[in-house]
Amino acid sequence: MSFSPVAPGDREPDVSPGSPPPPDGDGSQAQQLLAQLQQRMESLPTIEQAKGIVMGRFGLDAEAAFRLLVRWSQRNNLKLRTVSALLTDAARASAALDDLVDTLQQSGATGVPVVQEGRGEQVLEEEVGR
Amino acid sequence: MSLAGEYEAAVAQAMAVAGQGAELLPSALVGACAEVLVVEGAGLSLTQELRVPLSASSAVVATAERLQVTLGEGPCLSATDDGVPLVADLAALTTRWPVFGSELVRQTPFRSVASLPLRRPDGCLLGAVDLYSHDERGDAFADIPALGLEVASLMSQYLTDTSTWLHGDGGPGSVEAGTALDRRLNVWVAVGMVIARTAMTNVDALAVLRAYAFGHDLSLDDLAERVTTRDLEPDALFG
Repeated sequence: MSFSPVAPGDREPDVSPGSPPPPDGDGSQAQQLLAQLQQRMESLPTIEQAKGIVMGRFGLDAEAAFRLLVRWSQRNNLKLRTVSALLTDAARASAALDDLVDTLQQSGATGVPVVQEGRGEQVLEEEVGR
Repeated sequence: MSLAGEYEAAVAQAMAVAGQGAELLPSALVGACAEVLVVEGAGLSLTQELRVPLSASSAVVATAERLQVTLGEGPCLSATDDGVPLVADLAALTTRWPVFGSELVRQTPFRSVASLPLRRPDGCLLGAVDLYSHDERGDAFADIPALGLEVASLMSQYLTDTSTWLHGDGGPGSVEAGTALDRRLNVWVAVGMVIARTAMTNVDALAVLRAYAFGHDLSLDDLAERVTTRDLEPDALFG
């Protein structure tokens, strides 16, 4: 199964494919990994919804929307799931979403352009091209 | 041989055929389940707000699973909600979940369904194994409440004790490979796109997607793909 890359602030304990399986009868490490997987599966819906909000608002494709989310996460020193939860909450009132997007864009860096409707691609290019 | 013994042997055999790839564990577990419990189909999912499909023993099992997720109702969802095993013959299917019951009959050869919740050792709900039979009366499920629990417990144990399957994509033998999981998560992206347009809650947005999918004879996963690839604009959902 594949997952989208996770922002640095959001990194879960490593579950790299190279990890050896636990010895038979000792399921504790596996249980921990399973709990982590479940936790990840719980936060993914919020992140995916935030991706959809950014796609819908700025006309970005899924990959570009995810890059913008990661960028916001890094610049604002917030976990990806935190930024995502803020966006999904704010989206219920479009004015609140406007304010939040402005804040995410402006803080953590100088000279970052403020996102405006329809400028998503351009802003993203400026953002990720830095 | 005891049921547990038969099941373990069937899993071991499936794993051997699959070439020992631990990532194939979910498909080995459902294949062995269908074989030992003598049912026509089995599927395995993780419990979430939108359940996450891990493996299905055939394409038509995947169809039955998507049908429940699209409609937001069905025995497998109820079993997970209640946290107890559930067996439904055709009469129960069409009475308790009338829309699902009639669609199941229309789209699949299955006429009875059982679902067994799987739990982690700490008691938390982990997922569910869904079993499907062609038999209207569900005779194949007569012993499920007792026998099935034994298999469900073994499945939980396999999933909990072996971490390596977490990295796999289900493998070539699995109908529900990684793409099925990604397609299910993509439903949330579509929900986000609807929210961005309407300022709805995600529950309402999901309901809109479900209603459109059902009205247009699409699975929720297929509709989500059309929305997220902009083959269908969110506005069209309200047309």
